[in-house]
Amino acid sequence: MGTAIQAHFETSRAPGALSSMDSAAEYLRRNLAALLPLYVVAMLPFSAIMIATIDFVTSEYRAMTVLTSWLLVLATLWRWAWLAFLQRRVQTDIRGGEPHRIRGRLHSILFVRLVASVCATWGSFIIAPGLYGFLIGGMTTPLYLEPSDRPTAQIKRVISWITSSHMRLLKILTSLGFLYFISLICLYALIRIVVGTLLPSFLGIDPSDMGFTLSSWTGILVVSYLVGLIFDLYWAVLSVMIFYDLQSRRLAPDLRVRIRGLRNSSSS
Amino acid sequence: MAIQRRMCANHDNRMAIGVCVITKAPICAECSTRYEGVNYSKEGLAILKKRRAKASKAGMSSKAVGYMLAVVVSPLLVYAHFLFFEHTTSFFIDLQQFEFANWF
Repeated sequence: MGTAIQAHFETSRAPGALSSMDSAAEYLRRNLAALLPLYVVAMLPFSAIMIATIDFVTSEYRAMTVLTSWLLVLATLWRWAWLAFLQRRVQTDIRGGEPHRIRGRLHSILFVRLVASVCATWGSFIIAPGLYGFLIGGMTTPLYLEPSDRPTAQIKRVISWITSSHMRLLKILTSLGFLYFISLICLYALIRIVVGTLLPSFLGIDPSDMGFTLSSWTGILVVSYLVGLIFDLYWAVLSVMIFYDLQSRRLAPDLRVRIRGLRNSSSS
Repeated sequence: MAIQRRMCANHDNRMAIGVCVITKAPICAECSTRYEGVNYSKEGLAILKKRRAKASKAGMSSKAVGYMLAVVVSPLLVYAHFLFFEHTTSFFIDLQQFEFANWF
């Protein structure tokens, strides 16, 4: 009996920690055309203000920081509102059926995202609140659009899911951070090669000004922001996938847990 | 637990078919109302109605408190956000002015 259970346990492993990342990448590949307009609307004001802020930073125009910071706050609220619509689309595709109504819940979503974002920014000094804030911020829309308990009870439940699956989530976040830095280095190296070698050798263009801009703070910050945009879209999709992954691990009959229980009962 | 009294609490000559989940009184088919899969007597239903009304009132008031709290806290959160952006921008300006060569 014990051997049979052992054999079954070996063949019935739950999906790995990074399976949500695969699902999100595959979903993005298939539905990029449908998601991109929503994402562009969400990010257009934020990106415009961010590029202006980068310009003010590199020109050391300190007087403008107050104005751009307030504008960034407003653009962030706009961004969250449209990302909620984007995530609703992802959620509808995953669940099937009619999309949930977002009107009447948007103010709650924005409020929770504000709290989560403050935890993710100011709370990151003591690490744990930063991680919780980052994860809950991403999962707020699918959480609030699921018709279930009271909002506070839902938030408590998601916090308990995150706590119980912390190693799984840390693996995802570490992989995401690693991928971001690898992409950043690769893109920066590619641009340097194009500007330093290909443009002057093949097209006869003198790219010295372009090279100077790229090696300046402006170049580094703009390239980092552009790579960050790709990962931001990916995270918007991935967080919905993670929400359902955590939900199924906690609520659905998890085969691994049942088999482990059987194994424990047979050995005792 | 066995039903001690097998006759209806309201009709002495009728057999009880169950027990009210609220009042625990044995009730006959006529006195029983099946609601949400369980049997209630007339008095039990009245108590349930009162309890639900009270819970809904409490829910409404906690919702109102939640909204009030959100209205008060939201500007503070927005301001915390603003401070974060402002400090980050200033940090990057200071970072540019920092002379790394002197540091080493």
